[in-house]
Amino acid sequence: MSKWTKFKNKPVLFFKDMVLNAVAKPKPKPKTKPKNIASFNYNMFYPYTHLLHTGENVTGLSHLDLWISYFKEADVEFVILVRNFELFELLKEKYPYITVLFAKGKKEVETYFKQLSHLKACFYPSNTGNNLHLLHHNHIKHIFIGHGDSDKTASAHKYFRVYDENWVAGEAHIDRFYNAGFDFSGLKNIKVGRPSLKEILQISEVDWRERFDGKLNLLYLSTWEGVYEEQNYTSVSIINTAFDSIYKYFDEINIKLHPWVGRREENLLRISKILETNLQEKEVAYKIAEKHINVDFLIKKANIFICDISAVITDSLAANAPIFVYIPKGKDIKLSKSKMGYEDYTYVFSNIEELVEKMEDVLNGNDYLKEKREEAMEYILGRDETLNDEFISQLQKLQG
Amino acid sequence: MAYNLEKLNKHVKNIYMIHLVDSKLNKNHLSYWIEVFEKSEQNFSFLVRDEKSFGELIQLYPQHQILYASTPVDVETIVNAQPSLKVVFFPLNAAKNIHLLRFNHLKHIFIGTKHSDQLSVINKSYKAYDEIWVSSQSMVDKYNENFENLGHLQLKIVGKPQLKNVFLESEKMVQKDTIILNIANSNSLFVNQLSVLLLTLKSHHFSIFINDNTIFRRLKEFLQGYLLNSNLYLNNSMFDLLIAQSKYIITDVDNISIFYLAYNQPLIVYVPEDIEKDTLRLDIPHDALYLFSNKDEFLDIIENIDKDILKSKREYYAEYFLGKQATLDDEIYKKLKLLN
Repeated sequence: MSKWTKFKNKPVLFFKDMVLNAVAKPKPKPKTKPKNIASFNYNMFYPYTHLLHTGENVTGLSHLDLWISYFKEADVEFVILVRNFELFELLKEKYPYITVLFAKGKKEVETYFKQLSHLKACFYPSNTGNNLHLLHHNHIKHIFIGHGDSDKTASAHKYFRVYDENWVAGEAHIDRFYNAGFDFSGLKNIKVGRPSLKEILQISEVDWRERFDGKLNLLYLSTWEGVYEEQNYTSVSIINTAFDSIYKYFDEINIKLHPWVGRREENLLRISKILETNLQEKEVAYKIAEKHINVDFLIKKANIFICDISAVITDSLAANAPIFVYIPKGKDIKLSKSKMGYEDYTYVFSNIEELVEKMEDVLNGNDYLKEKREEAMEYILGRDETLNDEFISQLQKLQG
Repeated sequence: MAYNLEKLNKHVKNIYMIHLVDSKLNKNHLSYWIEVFEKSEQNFSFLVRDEKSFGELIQLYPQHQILYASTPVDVETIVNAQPSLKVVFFPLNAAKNIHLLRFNHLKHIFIGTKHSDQLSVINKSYKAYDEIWVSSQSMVDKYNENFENLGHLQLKIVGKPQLKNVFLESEKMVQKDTIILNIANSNSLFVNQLSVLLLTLKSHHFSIFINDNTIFRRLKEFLQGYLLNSNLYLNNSMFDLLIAQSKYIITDVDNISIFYLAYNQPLIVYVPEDIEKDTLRLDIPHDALYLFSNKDEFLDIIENIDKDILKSKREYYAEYFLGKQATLDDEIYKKLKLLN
């Protein structure tokens, strides 16, 4: 029976059905199959020569953020390949002018590689298992570029040998490989500096005491509590009490907690609130940075640092200002050692008393690690290579 | 799912661990290697990365230390629980291997699977390992062709220990009167010509292996009809046993396998007439095979088979592709012993 016939012959039923249809739940849309492959700004006939790959999930965004602008500045034909659809969507939004590809599995990666016939090099900011899906292309150069420089053991292990080249910031990273005790003779290490730290290095040419009109700005950068207690190097549990003793020296305190703080120890989830309550009561300007705030942005605004063991130490080093590093006692700290240890160029402390004592000494004019710090800037960060845009030159060299 | 750490025998110090990563093939990989590792007289464990196959393997091998790890953190727990561990063996070059390759204090050795010599595409990712244990010189050559510079990577020839008994049997002098026929491809012309060949050789005894039900039934009727002296098998489980009695092996291009070289018997291979012999790419080079495409060529081969002019070629390739001498010398057991 058509609607018209129903209206004519059974008007009661017609209106009853009309009401029922109006209030009925909408039919669920058929489930669309999640995408395995997608592209943005991509032209398969374009002669892309450089490919930047991350096998990470959305955490890969911070890795890519470190490098994208320099690929752009080098003016090379590059494309980004990601393996997580959410990350693909984020990149499209953040970098509407670049080419991004998404390939879920090995099969989809192959689809793109068949089209990318001009490709000369693939770049990897981190070691993930799915890098393997690209590494079997023997005719392409595979280059590890990392996402920061750290003394953690993840910085120098045997898996790095799968790459043709390892582009490092400075000599320190090469020494970490020598000290790791394995043969890496097939891997070529090339010093390229840390392009993302160039601006900070330029600022650091002014003595730290004379920056910001003589003001003292502290930046506290924590790590998280780690997967296991033996890997727990964080100072978050003592920093609140430490602030009671040291806040008075500073005009401004900035805090950036590791985004994973509280992941294993739930009680640490409140640390941000605790710090805020405490500092509110004190006569000091302070700010607790949101998770998305870039560390480099905060480093530019500081001239004294308190750090935990992590890559942020080397980031802060670029500012050429005193760094106080928390080294917990009684922990077997597994580090990938270079020729310079933290104690050589930073003021290390294991408790609040030690921190206060060393900080007072430094602020009173005894910055006795200044020279060593400058040595470390070259050795760890590759200051000269950074200031001379070596990374960009190497990218251009590959373009041919 | 627990790691199954309670399975670790606290009274033994495990020297090596085998990393199994393929959900579908873990069972095959384990069964291919387990006897070799058992004979090594060293303590070892297996680390399985797939929950389903882990469940199957602990049922099948309850006497072994089989552990399970899902995440990289689980892997670390398992490595830390075996402080005496020195070596990890990898049958497969898989993405998850990275979870173990980051341990610098361990030696990482790629050992492959039964078919990895033929199937593996050598690429830069193999450079993550410290050593590759290869069956033979052919694999050494393959690596050298693919890498300009091997760098730290050490290639060690260990033979194919799983073939040792086959090699030993093949050297025994026994009166042989059986002809082995191995038929894989039911569509091949070979099957159509089979009746002609069988009648030509009717004075012999045949052992015929077929993996196709229809052909099996047709052939059975044919053999009974002509009262031919033969045994028919629908699978290859008896193949190794019967091969010792065999005079030669007849097969087709779809079924020729590198492992036939271990039997050291004349290999007669049917090539359909529409295929140019020179364009064929087989696991075994042509110059070690008796190729035929029609009855006349076949008869010619059979007439001269006792001279077996390709014997030395076959032996050369058995050494080059299967590492016969290294197998007979128990190279793998010597190397396993050196790990401790």
